Amino acid sequence: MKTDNDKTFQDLNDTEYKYGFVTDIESDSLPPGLNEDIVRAISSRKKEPEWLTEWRLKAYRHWITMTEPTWSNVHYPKIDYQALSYYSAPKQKGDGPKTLDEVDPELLETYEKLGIPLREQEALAGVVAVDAVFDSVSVATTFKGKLEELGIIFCSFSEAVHSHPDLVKQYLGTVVPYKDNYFATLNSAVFSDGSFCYVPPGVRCPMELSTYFRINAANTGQFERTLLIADEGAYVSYLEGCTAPQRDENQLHAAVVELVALDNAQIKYSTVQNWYPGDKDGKGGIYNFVTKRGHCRGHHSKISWTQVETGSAVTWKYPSCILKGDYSVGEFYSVAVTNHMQQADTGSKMIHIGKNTSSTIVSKGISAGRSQNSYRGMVKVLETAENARNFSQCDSMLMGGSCGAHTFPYIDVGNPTAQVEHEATTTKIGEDQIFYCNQRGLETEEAVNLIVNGFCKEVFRELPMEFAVEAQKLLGISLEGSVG
Amino acid sequence: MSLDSIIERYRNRAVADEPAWLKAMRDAAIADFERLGFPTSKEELWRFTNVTPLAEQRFEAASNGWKTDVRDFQGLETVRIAFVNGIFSAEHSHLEALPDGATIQSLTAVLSEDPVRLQGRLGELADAGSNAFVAANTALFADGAYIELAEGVVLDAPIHLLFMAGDGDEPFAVHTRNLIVGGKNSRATVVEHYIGAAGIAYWTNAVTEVFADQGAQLDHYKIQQESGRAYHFQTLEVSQQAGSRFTNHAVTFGSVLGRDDIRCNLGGEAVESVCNGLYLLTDGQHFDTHTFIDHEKPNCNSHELYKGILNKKAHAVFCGRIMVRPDAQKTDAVQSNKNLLLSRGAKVNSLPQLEIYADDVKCTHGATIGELSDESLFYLQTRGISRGRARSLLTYAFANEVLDAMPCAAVKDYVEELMLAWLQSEAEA
Amino acid sequence: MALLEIKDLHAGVEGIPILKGINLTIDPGEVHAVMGPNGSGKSTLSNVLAGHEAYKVTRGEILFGGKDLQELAAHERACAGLFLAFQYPVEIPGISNMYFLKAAVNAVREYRGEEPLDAMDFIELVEAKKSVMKIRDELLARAVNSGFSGGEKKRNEIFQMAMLEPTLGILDETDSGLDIDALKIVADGVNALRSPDRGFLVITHYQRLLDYIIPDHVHVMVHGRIVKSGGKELALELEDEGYASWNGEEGL
Repeated sequence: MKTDNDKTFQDLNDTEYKYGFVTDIESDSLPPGLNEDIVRAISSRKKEPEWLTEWRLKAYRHWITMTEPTWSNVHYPKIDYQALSYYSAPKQKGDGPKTLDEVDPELLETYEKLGIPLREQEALAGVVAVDAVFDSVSVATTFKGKLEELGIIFCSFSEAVHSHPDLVKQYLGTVVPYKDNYFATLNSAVFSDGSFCYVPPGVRCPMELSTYFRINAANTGQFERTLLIADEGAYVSYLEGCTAPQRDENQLHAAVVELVALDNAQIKYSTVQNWYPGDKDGKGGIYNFVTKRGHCRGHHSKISWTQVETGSAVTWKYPSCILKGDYSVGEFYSVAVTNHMQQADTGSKMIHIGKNTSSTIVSKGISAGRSQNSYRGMVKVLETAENARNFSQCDSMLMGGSCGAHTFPYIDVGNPTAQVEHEATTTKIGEDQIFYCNQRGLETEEAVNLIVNGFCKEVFRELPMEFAVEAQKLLGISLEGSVG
Repeated sequence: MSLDSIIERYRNRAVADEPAWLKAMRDAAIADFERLGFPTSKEELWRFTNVTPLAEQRFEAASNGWKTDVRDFQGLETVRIAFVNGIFSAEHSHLEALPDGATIQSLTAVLSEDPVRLQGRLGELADAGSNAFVAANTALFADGAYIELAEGVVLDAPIHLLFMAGDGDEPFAVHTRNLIVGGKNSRATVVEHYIGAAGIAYWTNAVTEVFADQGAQLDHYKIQQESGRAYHFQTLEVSQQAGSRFTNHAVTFGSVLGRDDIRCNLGGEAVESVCNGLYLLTDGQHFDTHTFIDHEKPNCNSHELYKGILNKKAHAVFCGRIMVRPDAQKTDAVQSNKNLLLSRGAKVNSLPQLEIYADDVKCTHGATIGELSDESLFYLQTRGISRGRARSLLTYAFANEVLDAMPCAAVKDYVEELMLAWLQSEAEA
Repeated sequence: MALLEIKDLHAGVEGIPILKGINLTIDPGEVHAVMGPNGSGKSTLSNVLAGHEAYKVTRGEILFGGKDLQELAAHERACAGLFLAFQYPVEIPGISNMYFLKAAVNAVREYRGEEPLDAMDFIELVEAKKSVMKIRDELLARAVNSGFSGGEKKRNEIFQMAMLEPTLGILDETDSGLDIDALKIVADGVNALRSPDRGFLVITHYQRLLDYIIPDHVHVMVHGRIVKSGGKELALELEDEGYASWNGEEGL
């Protein structure tokens, strides 16, 4: 039994990142370094209106007064922000591509290797509309036409700045203000592109909207910005997937996602994050410092975050909900897997402001190798939040004796009618469970897969079907054969 | 303000005839205190507890006087060592009938008679370098209780450590220092009891260090009935060796602003550690409990249950950290924090934390905050009990879980009576 | 005078109507069974009778011993002699069963203008009542329903009924989750309490319980109304045919 375990641990350590190729493509990059001129240069390359340039500059000026946060349970060498390049776009002739035929075939091939064949998607029965973001620049958005018929705007952020400036101006920075935190402020100054989506009142978006993020160029930071608005009574389900090439140096990813749900609106936001995690000795990998926040602005609105995080060398991410509207609902379902030398500090914040607001947090952390996996969350019930309800459950699973699993919830309650419950457990996969499975004819590897999937099922069942399958596969690859 | 007055007090104090090691320790501690200053809410460990009112208050030296009677625990021949405003009081103590091998003395007496007994123990656990309250205490403590049990000594009667605060015209500070040494396989019950005369303002800054040697069994209680204007801060540091069992039961009624910092180091195998607490707060009371259960070795159990009942504008903070170090396989750690809010304006911050570096462990924590359940109230009503009475009963039941876990019936009864009186007065108010 | 008279009772929860015109009269000494499928409103009826605040009466009248039940708070109904044995008795950690019972018994006595029982008299009463329900001392010392098995909870409910000596006992699906032995104990306990001045309302989904507690009258409740009443043979009829025909008759 023991030797079997040791063997499978070895297998686990040998599992390699399969998205680690580099696409050989010409890109248009700004020189490394960050100053007001660079911020202006980014803005002018994107032909942005003056108000946006000014907004970026305000953010930059604020950012230089800030210091990098140190409170999270992650450790990494100091980032030299002047050594990074803040803009890298695949070179293109003239204006952006109008149809997929105009997209660089190299790029299309890249997405096919990633398992996201943009062409095929178009041919498929219209289940998923994809916006592909390559080194922070949106390269292709599919199904635009079909969505437009319903009045749904789904396009790259930079396109939205030109085609729907009023909407962007109205909502940008209203959920994550430019002063919010170190990484969000940096993003506000230098963000390059991302996705924009607006679903008009009463419209139920008939397909999953999806963005795939890919970091390709070396020494670049990736700073996308996503803004998603569900107007009164609207519904949208949004998927986000991420990969990056295998490089020895670390790459910074500091994205911002803002969601706004008005009265009776619902947003479901799912992420499968598989950025390059570095090799088994901790060399290379993405620093993933992301600010994601949803604002349940209207009554009976609902925002649901689901994330499966298997990648990145360092993750610092707390998808949150501000429950302002009465009867609004916030949800957070997360699976975070860390292996080798990965570090993850992730969780959620639920801020209850409105009456009868409710929130649910389900977090599953799986640590293997020499990784550190922390849940950090906050549930805050303000005095105004009559009858607020929260239930949080944070379970950790450890595989092997060299990793760590940590739980740091913050619970603030200032209203006596609130009911807040938090539970956390830590377990390992029991040898008796494995033995039981063995005895029923399952190999140890299969048994582990089965048990881990069981451990995560409350989260997986929140994912849209296509994603759930992908997430389970990813988990299988990340933890191949590991036994606790 | 108070920072300077503390340093000034240290410089101007009459230098007692103390051993060199203690003098050096005090000098280092006052330097630590000067460096650290009072904590601010910018520090993670003090995020929810603002000590500004304390830090801005100037405290005089305590006078000496006590008029109120304190009741004994019924039906028990209690051993008692008493202190009035921090100074040993022979009048209120009864230290007869101690078996051989048991020492209960004031710390000053030990210092003048046999200081070697303290060396290597006093200050060994409580770290002045990282905690301003410990630093101030180490620099300035005047007295406190010293308890030592030789190997195999069993004391049936609870040892009552009574700390009385009374008769101060000006706000005064009492830095109490206790040291409890339980030898191998010794057994005792120790009750730290803080009580203050109504309406007086003072600052209790206590530090208690506990050593539980192999197989020792110590049941430690703290009953905190400080005056409603008092500041009460205590650091309890416990070091446990293999096979020892330490239980702590802290019940808080008093003080306007207070905090318990409790740290148990499970430094041997097969150690059992229980930390329970009950805080009953009302009006503008603020009470903070920080626990740190440090599992260093395999096969240990720890169990924490902290419950709070908050009325009016009370504010409670609970931060419980469980650390399971890489060597501590087969750890079984459970922590639970439950809070009952009786009225609008009451506020709770709960921060249960797990840090786990070993894989074969069972750790859980839970926290709940809420009001009485409507289903329970209805059930009681269908049995003929009025809604008001049902509320009191359920509130009592909520707290009772902590009392039920107290192994000493006499202490439990004593606390229960205080609790009932508290519930009654809150129901009437 | 009738013990309980329900006239054209309409009630619901959160604005959703559930009971839609119930008429039912129980005389002293009678056992009435109300049977019905899930969701027919049986538990709503018991909660309305016991005075649960979430359930609102929108029309109709309930007379208990001639008094308007709706004017009484939940605990006053209990003191007046109405007892509900819950389908899911709540757990109350921290209060021992004994302490709880004593509080309840004395609350009822006080309401009736009787002297409260002291500890000795109370224990005597407990001793006298506990054997019927096969309640062990250990169960009395434990916190109310905390960690009780399903059967222990139900036995505890009937034991409480024996202690409080109500004039009307309502059994809300008391048979659910009980094995045959536990069912017999519960039924024995109820039968021992049958008397000329006490009535029972037995709410159940299955006929099984009625093999042991023989009812005088059986009512079938569907969609918030009593659709048929009869003698004990009606229960057997239902056992054979199920509720399907009634659902059909209602037209859903």
